[in-house]
Amino acid sequence: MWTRTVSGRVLHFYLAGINNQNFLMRDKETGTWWQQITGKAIYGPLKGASLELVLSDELTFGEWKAEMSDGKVLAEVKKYVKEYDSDWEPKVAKLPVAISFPGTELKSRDVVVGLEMVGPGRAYPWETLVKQTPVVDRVQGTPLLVAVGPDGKSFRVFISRIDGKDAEFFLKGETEGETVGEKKSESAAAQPEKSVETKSAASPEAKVTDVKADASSANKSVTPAKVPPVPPKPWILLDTATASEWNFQGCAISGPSLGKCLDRVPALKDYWFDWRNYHPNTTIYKH
Amino acid sequence: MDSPSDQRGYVWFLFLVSAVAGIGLFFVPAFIIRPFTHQTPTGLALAMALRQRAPWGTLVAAVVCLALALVLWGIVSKGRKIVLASVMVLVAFSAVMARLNYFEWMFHPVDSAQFESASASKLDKGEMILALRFGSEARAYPIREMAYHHVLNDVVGGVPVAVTY
Repeated sequence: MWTRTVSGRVLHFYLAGINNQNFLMRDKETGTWWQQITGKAIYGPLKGASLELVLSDELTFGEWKAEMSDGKVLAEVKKYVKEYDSDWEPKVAKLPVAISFPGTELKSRDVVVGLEMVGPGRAYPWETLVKQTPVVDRVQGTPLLVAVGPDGKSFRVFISRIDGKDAEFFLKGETEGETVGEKKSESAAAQPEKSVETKSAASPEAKVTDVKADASSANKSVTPAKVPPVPPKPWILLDTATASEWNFQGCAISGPSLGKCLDRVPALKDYWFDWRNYHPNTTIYKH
Repeated sequence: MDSPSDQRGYVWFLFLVSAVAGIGLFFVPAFIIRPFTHQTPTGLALAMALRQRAPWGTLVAAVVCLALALVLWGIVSKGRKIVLASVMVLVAFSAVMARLNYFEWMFHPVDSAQFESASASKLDKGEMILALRFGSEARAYPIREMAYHHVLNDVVGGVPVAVTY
């Protein structure tokens, strides 16, 4: 999403064509051609100008509604309701591509989450994110946290830094042996991860965490015998720097960092061929 | 001094050159910018340059072609008249199409966006949306809708935004 103001002038955009399956738009005011994925003017009077990126989210309606209960939703245009296809995604995934990049590690229609703010771009394969969330990464010195939300469909990206100090995150309640636990770096060893994950009493820190967990969730019990059969786990991240709890909005909900929020990073969910086409030197996250 | 036959040849030549220009101004970019085909940087630049000039270019070509066709109409055979008429139809079609955005025939724009409250929305909780917030205003744009409309001009919290998908 983009702001529509360029040099103090508000522009109105319309669909005008397609360029290797990424659409082109023009503005009514100058007739300039803009590439949707980059927000750049590629032809016409404003050639060379760039639209300013708006920080946006790609979420499930349920997640968004829980966060923004007073928000407004774009209503369906009645005369086009038949055109809104609930199955558009699997259908599009089967369509041929106009440009491909053989020899790269991903298939053309693989879905990635792409970050532009880090060097030449960074792509996170969606399948990897779902399996490993939250992914803690570092690109050109910037610590990043890429998280798929509790619904398994929403995602957000943050700068993984608390009060200027790099931090790592993991899902609270993750069981031993899950891939997320395996990818933690040495810095995470400062606080025994497994102790926290398995709620072992081996570490005093783990005990503190357990108390917080019990206070924050009515579903949990301190008595193993009374543990109900796999209650739904609340989606909470723990950081290794302050052992605070964080929600999917990137804000600390308990612990020393309570009230603080991580800085957000704009990200785009895209097909690999499209992302790669406009970010030829992009790197790919590997687990 | 050119013979009448030579003069007729020049008129025909001018007519056909104008016709090719007028028709090309519409059809060449339409051919290059079509779905599921690869657009090269050079091809795309050519398509945009032609499409940018097509509204007035096709009009000039159509006027020139019409004038020359009228000159020729009285002095050519019936078969040639059919050629003249057919070419004029194509030239006129190009002049009209150069003024119309046929991409919006396939994917209609939202003329006047309407919004409903989150609580009133009947969207399924698992449905994907694009979301943004400026100040106290938060908006959700169902991807199912945006995948059809592709672009929406909106103002959120006083900020003009282009929602694209």
